Amino acid sequence: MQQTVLALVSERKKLVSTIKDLVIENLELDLEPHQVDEDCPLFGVGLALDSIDALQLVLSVEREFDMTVPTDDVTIFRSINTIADFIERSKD
Amino acid sequence: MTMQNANTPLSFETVQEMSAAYDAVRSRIGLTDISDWAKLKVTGYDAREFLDRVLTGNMQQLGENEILHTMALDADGNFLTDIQVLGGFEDFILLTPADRADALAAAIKPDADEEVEVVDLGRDYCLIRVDGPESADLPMAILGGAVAGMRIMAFAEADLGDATVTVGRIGTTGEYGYFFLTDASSRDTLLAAIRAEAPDVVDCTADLHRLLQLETRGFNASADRPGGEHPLEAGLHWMVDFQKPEFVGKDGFFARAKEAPHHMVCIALDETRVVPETKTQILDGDGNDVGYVANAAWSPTLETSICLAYLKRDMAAVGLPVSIAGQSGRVVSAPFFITKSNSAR
Repeated sequence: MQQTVLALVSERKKLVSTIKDLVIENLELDLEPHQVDEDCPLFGVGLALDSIDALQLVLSVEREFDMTVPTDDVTIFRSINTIADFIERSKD
Repeated sequence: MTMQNANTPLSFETVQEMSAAYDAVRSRIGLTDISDWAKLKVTGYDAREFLDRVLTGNMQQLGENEILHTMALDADGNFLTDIQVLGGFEDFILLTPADRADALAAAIKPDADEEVEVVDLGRDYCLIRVDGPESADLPMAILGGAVAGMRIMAFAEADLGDATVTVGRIGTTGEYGYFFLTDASSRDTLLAAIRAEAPDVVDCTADLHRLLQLETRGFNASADRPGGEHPLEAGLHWMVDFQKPEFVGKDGFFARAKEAPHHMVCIALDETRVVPETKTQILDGDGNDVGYVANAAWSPTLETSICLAYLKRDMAAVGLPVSIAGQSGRVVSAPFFITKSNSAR
């Protein structure tokens, strides 16, 4: 049980770390990964990204994870964690 | 409909009592008088530099008619309060909940050589907020085109009869939420205008906002840090400009952040109406202590109990199965509720 849980936690943290790097690098944010909370809203309150950032983010995720991102689901890019949720769902 | 105190979990019975107001905010529109909030006006040639020095956010990048949600620390880097700052050229309005008024006053003290004037708007101004999907059209309906198409975290001023009203979009309870700030003598005029345009508006209380903010993971300084946890444990990184060379309390703030053992997460319990109390221990699947509850409530939308919790940093990850007072649940992504799609996670 514990090994399974630890593996789950480790895998999730690895995915979150990859997405943080992706967001920071592709949007050229002046931040270190540990300075971004994974539940922080990416748009509006929070990191205050804009619509151009959103487009860039969609393209980056599609390229990095070799997947198509639906543009009509506003919940996917709410935070680092919701992006990770989407990627995990897409793998299933 | 009174809460015992800010750290008491909302009971199911209390949620039942609040259900009409809750339904209004989630499906239509609710109105809350928060005139007891602390309200300071900071003006002067050095006002921007002063606020940049005493707040953790970047005031140099705050444009006119923009709102910045940031925080103030004491000299040792301890959290004082979070603050909504309404940006002007040389004039700023600072808003914070009533229970943080003293903390705000302690933080906003310019030095004698700074050309800054601080005026307590206090009882001279009223502050009314409206929340819910049907609030989206309200500012333009009562104040006209000057406030049309307002972005989130922006504000504008407009006339209402003889009064000047400042209206801002903050959305701390969901996608749509606005506040109206005007002089106290115009309060009745403002309320009449709101009720004329939204006759079905339901009166809410500040207590209800604790639940609404919990569902959207809006920060509630009174409820979300029951043990005085570090703001970065609470995920408030976005209130801090990490690149600023200086701000009051910076060194102590970052030194303590390195030692902070926890990380705040959202937990949804499995279909239970039992609301865990603050500081209730959280166990992992093997019965190991991994953290504790900070702020919990029963969510009418999700029909289960939800909580913000502090987990040991190395275990804080979405998907982690947990047990709280015998109830099973798991860590989920924030928020619990997203207004725009009117759907629950």
